[in-house]
Formats: sequence, C-alpha cells, structure tokens
Amino acid sequence: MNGKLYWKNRLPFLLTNLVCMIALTVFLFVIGNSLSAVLLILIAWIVIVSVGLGFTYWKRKRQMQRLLDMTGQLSERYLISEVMELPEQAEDQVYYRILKMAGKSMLEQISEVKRERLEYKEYIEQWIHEIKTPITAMKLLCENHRTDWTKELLLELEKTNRFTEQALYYARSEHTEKDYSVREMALSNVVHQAIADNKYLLLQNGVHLKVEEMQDTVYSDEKWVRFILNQLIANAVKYRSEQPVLHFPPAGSRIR
Amino acid sequence: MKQKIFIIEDDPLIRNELNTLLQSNGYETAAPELFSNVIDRIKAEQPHLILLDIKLPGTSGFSLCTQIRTFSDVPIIFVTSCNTDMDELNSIMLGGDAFITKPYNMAILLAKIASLLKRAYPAQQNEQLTYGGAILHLESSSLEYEGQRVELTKNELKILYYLFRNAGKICSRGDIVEFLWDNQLYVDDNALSVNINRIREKLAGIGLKDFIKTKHRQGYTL
Repeated sequence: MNGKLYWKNRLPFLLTNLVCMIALTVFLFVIGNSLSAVLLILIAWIVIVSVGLGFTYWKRKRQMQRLLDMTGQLSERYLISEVMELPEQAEDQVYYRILKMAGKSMLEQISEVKRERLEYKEYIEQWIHEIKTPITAMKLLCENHRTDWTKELLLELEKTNRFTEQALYYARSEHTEKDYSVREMALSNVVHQAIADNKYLLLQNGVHLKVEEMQDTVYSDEKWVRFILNQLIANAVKYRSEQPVLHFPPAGSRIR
Repeated sequence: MKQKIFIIEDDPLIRNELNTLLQSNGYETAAPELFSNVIDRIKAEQPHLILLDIKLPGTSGFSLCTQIRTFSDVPIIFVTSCNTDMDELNSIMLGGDAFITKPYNMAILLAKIASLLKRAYPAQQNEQLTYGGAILHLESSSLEYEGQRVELTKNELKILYYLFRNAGKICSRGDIVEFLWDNQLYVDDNALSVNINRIREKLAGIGLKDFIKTKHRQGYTL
C-alpha cells in the first residue's frame, strides 16, 4: 500500500483536527486558561490522534500486504475472491462483492472457451480418422491400376498422409499422457515402417539409403517413434545436399 | 492350391481394390457387401485368412471377431483408421492376430498376410516359380536349370521373383526398385544394374543365356 497516498488521503481529517485544535486553543485562552493547561490538552489530543492513526495505518498496511501476498502466491490469480476472507470494513466489502462478481463472470467465460476448444479438437480428430479412408482408397486405386502418372499421385498422397498425421499428433501432443503407451518394440520394424511411409518421397529424390542390421528392441511408444522418424526423414529430404544419403546405424548412434 | 482370403470392409471402393490387389498377388478372395450373414458365409466358405475392418455399419469388428473365435482359429487381421491403443489392445485380447492402420502400406499388408499364412498353414507353401525351363526355388534362394543350381543373394532372389511373377511382361526399372524397397532392400538405380548383370553372369554359368532381356528404355523382361 502506498504510504504517501494513504497519508495524503488523511489530509482532510488532519486539517480538520488542526483547525479544531486552533479554535479550541483560542477559545481556552479567551476564557482564561493557562498556557500549560492548553498545551497539556493539545499534547494529549495530538498523542491520542497520532497513536490511533498510526495503529490504524499499521493494521491496514498489514492487511493489504497480506492480500497482495496471497494473490501473488496463487497460480490462478483470478480466484482470489474465492480464497480471501470477507473484509471487515464496509467499503472493502463492496469491493469484495465486485471482485466476486467479476471473477465469476470470467470463470464462466473461461470454461465456455475451454469447452469450445475441446469440441473443435474432437472434431478435428474425427475428421482425420475419416479422411484416412479416401486416402487409402486412392492409394489402392493407384497400386492396382498403374500407369505412368500413378507414381506422382502416390507421392502426393504420401504428402497428404504426412500432413494429416502431423495434425493428429499435434492435437494429441497436448495430453500425451493419455496417448502414450510404452511397450517393447523391435527397432528394425519401426525404421522400416517409417521408410515405407516415405517410399515415394525418397525414391523421387534419389536418396541413397543405408540401413544396417538392427536386432535390438527398445521400450517406447511405437506410434510416436514412427511419427518422429517420419518427420526426420521428411526434413532430411527437404534440406538435403546434392547426393543425399540417409544412414540408419545400429543402436547407440543417431540417424544421420 | 490358392489360399482364400475373406475381406470384411464396408467402404465399397476399398473393398474392390483390396480384392484386385489380393487377386493379383495370387490369392482367392471373397468380399461380402452385406454383413448380416457374414458369420454363416465364413462357416460355409472356410477362408484361410480374414481381413476385418473394425468400423462396420450395424455391428463392430470386435464382436464379429469374438463370434468367429467361437468356432475357428482362422488368422484375423484387423484394419482400421483409428490407431488408439484401446483398439490395439482390444484386437489382441479378442483373438486377432495382427493390426494394421489405414492408409495401408500395401507391401506391409501383403507381407503380414504372407507371414500369417505361413505360420498358420506351414505345409501349403508355394515354394517355387517356373518359367522357360528355369525353376526359381524361394526357400533355398536358388535357381535351377537343367539339373544345375546356382545360389542367389537376397537382392538377386527378389529381383528374379519379381521378373518371374511378371513373366512375359516388361518390368520397368522403377517398378523393380520399388518392389525391392517394399521388401526392405533399398537399392538404387545403379545397384540394380549391377545386380542384373551379376544375375546374368550366374545364369550364363549354368547355361541359361538371354534369360533376362533388356528392353531399351523400358526395362527388363523374361
């Protein structure tokens, strides 16, 4: 709490006191009181008012500081109105009510927005599942009725599939704990799968593949590893040099 | 004897194309369009393997699988566009043998079918192909001609396998390379030429000349 401002606010009260003190002093002198009696009254007045004001200031300052600290500690600060106690001062109680009303309306807004976002995400996930059927159909058509342009189409389908996978995993990445299941999986399986997913991309770009024997199994989530490998392969092709070589060395080293 | 595969899939286009794909790979197929009496048809036709879509109108692939398992141990491959783990777990627990997500990788689908069939029916494997007097032995990875045999490497075996399967037709270099990639043999164009030449040398060694003909700018053929 801003001390200077607090005392500035008290100025009218202090001035009133000062004016009364002066009036009383004049009056006492006029009706014939001695200087010492007047001084005694004045000093007593000043002391009582000072102590009273000082105590009030100290108490108020502490109360405000407590509130500020409480708010500072909350991670969701807009919940302060739920956490703090009902204040004692009448004006404070009005502010408290206002705080509560504002907080409530904001909470409603937030949960509305959250709900909308969840609905939209579920729609996207559903859409991605649905789109896989026509992609599969197109792939099958191309494989079964090969002509001179089916390879190009299959390449584009690979791209399409990659984008839908990206969207799916982006949507799922926000709550991976529900989607992640660690199991034992053969490294070679997931590597060959990832290569197969990008077959046309690699062939089209003349990438030379060096895949070593991989006997190891690891513990991880196969879907996610496959997704990551797909991204790595796609990026490797995008930022390739003249004679691109994709090297999958056995366990312990990284994919170059 | 051809092996029969039963396709249970509700999307008509995919169903037809799967049909074509499997038939062109030497399998006999049956693909019902309505699913009300699918169980009876399975009992009647006794397929060697079933491709089962999880999402079907009116019924679920899982419940069908459970029903099938009451009377048969036929290998079942689940296909689906969902790939949540619940689905995968369910399919394993209900007795499915494998699980493939859409969009299928054709080569992987065919490979899984082949390996499941091999496991389930070990006796019935078609282990050799013949053409022009030459016998390609898949199990022993060798080629036989007039009593003489020559050993083949993995690459050479796969290349010859592809040529034998498309015997008489022109196989473009691109198609052969793609076929090898589908079998996890990642050769490039140069390596293909090298392999073809090596095969030719080996064949010449057992008296088989001009077996693989080069069609200028188009590819190779037997």
